[in-house]
Amino acid sequence: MAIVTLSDVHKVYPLGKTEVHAVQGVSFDIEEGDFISIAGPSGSGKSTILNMIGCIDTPTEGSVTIDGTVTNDLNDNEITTLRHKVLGFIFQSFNLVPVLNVYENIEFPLLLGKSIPAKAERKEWIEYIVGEVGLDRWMNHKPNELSGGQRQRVAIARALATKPRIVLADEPTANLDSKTGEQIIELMKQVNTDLGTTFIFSTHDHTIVEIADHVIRLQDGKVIKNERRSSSDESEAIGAGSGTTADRAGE
Amino acid sequence: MRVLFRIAYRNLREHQTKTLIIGSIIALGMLVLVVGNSVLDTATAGIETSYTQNFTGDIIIAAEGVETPGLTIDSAFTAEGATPIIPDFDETVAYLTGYDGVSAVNPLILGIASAQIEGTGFGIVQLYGVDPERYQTFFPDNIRLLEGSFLTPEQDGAIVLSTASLEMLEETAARNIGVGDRILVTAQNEITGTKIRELEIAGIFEFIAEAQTLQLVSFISLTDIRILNGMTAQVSDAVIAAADFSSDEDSLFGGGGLLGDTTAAAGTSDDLFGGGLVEAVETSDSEIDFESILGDTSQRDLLGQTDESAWNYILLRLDNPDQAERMVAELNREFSAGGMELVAFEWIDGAGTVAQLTNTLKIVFNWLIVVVAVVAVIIIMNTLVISVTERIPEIGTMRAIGARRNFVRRMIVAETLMIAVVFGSVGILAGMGVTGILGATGIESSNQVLQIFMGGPVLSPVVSTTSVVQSFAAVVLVGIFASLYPASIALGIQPVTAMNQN
Repeated sequence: MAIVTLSDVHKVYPLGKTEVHAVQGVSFDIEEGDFISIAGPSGSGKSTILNMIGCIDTPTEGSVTIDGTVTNDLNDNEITTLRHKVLGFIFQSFNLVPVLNVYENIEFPLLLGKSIPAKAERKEWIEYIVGEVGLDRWMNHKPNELSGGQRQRVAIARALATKPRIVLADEPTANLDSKTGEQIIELMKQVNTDLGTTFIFSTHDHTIVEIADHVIRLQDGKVIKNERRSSSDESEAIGAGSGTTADRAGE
Repeated sequence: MRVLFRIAYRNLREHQTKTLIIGSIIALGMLVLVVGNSVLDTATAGIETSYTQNFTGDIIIAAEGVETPGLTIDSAFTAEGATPIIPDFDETVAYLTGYDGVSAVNPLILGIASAQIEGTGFGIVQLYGVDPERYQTFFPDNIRLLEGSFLTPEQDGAIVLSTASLEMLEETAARNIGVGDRILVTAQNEITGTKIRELEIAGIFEFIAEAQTLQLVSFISLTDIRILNGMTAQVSDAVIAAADFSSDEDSLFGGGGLLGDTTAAAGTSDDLFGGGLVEAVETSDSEIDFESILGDTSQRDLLGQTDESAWNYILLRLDNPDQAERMVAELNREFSAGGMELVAFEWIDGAGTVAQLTNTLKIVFNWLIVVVAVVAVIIIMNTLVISVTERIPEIGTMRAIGARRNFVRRMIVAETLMIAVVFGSVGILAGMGVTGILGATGIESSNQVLQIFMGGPVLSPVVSTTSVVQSFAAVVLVGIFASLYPASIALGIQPVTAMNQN
């Protein structure tokens, strides 16, 4: 069952007296548990699509359905609740709260919901995910005391704190060196496998795209490739929006 | 909720310099507010006690038409025309004495005159005509008699002189003056013109309260102040109406005798028209001596007789002085509804310009504080706007990961309130400390003008609860107002900005 569905999505931005058509009639489904890469060069519309899936931007036309909910007509509170319950975010610049330490940053999303888990329950879960991302010894450190890779690990842990069904990552390795980038992607893949969390990340890094088991390639706001890979490295073309072709990732 | 304050606290700590600058402004403002209001409250309370317990009572009743009851010499000089007389005095006193909440009444006549001694010494005196027994019951401990005695009931031709007036006379007369000396008191009034009375100094006194504007007040026997003030009109009217001297010549000149029936002017008229003169006219066979009759001054003397029910003011002492404002409004409503030609004032209205100036000073001071508060709000607001702008990605991220708008609003308000309340409290505590030190040491001034405002030569301010509560409320309001605009900016930050920072 698709956890994310985009149907004929358009996004137009005003730019002075002209308009920029960032996304033009994109349609695709994302299945639960996918580890999916939205790839494409700069300006291809991948961040815009990621923002619309993350419910932090709205389509000009078309609809975005998240976990069975059409997001277009939700009000601010409803959409905030949806983001909090279903989505986790990993940002290119980590975007941690600078005045909170590692533990507090990870705990922060848990304190935003209507029903806040008990302190002991929170502690147990946070310690688990901190262990998963390998930051046990850094729990009391502030973000400015951590390296870029460590900060992104905190961001991953924070994204997982509310046990979301989808984690969105916008160019998660862009500010990291290649080795650390690989480690972060491996970590995300591991969480995807361990917890079954759907990971959707935008990237233009070919190496990272290779790891994804579902790749949507964009160009000029249109899907030019939408393929799912099997474990035997056979790719499967999926019917999608305009310009969709079956192809092998990386080609 | 704890996370809000945690973030707020750490943000403030993270930006220590900014926090300290804003905090210092707030703390200083609160310190000035507490000290200033405590000093003014103490001075006002001192002046209020001084005036209500010594000069004005809690409420002043005057005849309708009085705009300001001028109980002090400064207001006596600025008052226009003669002070009207309380109508239906006896009934009014009876009504007020039985009024719920009134514990005592004291009538008062006011006058202003020049005093001379042996044609050389000269000074201005403000005269209080009082019923000695009533006055001393109403104000039991307000004067210190230094020499001689206070007025006694029915005493005429006497004055009890204040030390300030005495010193003025002694200085101009260049000799010592004391009890038993006689002084000439000259006053002008609109009814009978200039009046001069020779009065004997019965006593020398000083007010225990050090209110400078009242130091020229001297007490004078009632008959004399009524003559000086021309308070004879009512007696004349009453007598004329009864005898109908002006309109009925028959009763004056016709009838059985020259003066007709004199019983109409009963009482006082017996001595004037009865007895030898009338008898002589009636029994004499000789020619009538018109010249001697027309030269008779008895009518003029009658008209010059004082009206014993003529008073300018009635002072009221209340069971609960805090109710004065309410009772003044209530009395004025009842006077109006009952057709009583009276008007009630609060003590401050009769306390003269100085006491009113202290109140004005407090109002001005508080307005200044409002201006300072507005400036503080603007400074805090600007600083917070910068802080919010610097934190756009952080706030955007919070929104993206599930923080509602309300959370962001509360976070900004918490930050502003924290800085306002913490530093405001420091300022209030410092203000209490400074006021405590000033209270222990006392603020001394030899300047008479300052002394008036201070309610005496030494002001020992005490921290007023009202001042502390008001200051705390002010700082909370400053915090809330200062956070409104930054919060509105923060609420406008969209979650997508978290992504855009990339």
